[in-house]
Amino acid sequence: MEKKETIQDELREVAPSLLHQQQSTFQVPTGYFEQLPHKLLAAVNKEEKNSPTILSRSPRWTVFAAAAVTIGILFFSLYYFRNPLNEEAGAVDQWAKQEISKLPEEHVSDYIDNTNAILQTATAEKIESNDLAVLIQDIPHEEIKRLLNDLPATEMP
Amino acid sequence: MTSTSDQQLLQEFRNPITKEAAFTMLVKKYQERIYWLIRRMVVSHEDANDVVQNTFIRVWNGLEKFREDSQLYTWIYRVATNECLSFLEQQKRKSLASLSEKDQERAEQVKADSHFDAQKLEWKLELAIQQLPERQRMVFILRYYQEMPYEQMSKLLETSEGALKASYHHAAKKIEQYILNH
Repeated sequence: MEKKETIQDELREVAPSLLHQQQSTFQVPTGYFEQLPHKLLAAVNKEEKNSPTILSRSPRWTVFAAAAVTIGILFFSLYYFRNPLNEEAGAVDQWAKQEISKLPEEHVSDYIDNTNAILQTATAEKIESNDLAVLIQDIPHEEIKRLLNDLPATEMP
Repeated sequence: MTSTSDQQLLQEFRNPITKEAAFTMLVKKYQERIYWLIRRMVVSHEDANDVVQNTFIRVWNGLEKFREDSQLYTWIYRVATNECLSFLEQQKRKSLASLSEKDQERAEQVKADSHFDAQKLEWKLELAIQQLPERQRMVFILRYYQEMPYEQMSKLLETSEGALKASYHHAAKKIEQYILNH
């Protein structure tokens, strides 16, 4: 604090009637200053308990938070866009299994036999076309050309 | 003046084990000066108590980040003056009364004190202080009652020493005039 004389000297010049008037007028409740430190400590502890833990708001933390949010959005997007397709495929598969299980066993057996027969025919046809290539390899080129020219346009492959 | 012990308080406050004890010591050290500054500004004890509590809660929340660019003493006073001026500002916004009516309300609050004695010079002084504009009132209280050097007040209120000196002299003359006329 400044020397009292300096302040009094200043007042003597400016407002002499205010000299030596610094007496207390207002009253304070009894024990107020004894209790205040404890009340304040209780108040700050209460405030800290009630308020959620605030993480440091430093720029570094913000960067980490932004990165975490971005990664989260990416994973969510992948899950969201991929999962419906998987679910759909799984549902179709499940439905097919259920429908097949309802069919009589001999029908399924016939279907498998027919399918095998078709596959065998297709293989045979393939063999035959291979054979055809072998068969025509001896026919002169001019002969084949003439034959193709004689065929109507609609029959051309 | 108090820098060595304030330094020690700061160190102890930054240690979680001694934090609460350091805060209690800090409150005990500054509470009366802060209370009387605020009380003379807001007049009622209840309002002063609210502003004092807000001030020390702010001190608790901000002390760990206190960068020691200024003295702890100056910083605590700055928190207190800001809290006090904000409180008065809020009161003004809430109230429909004009500024002169507000001054009158505070004067009435002084008169409502159970110990008020209109004949006593110290009570006339309290009434006269309430006629001053807020910033000038703050300057007068800091200088007259708290005996704060202009240099320190300049750091606290971020105003030049010359301007503060002029403000104080002007306030003292107005108060003297009021006392002589009442």
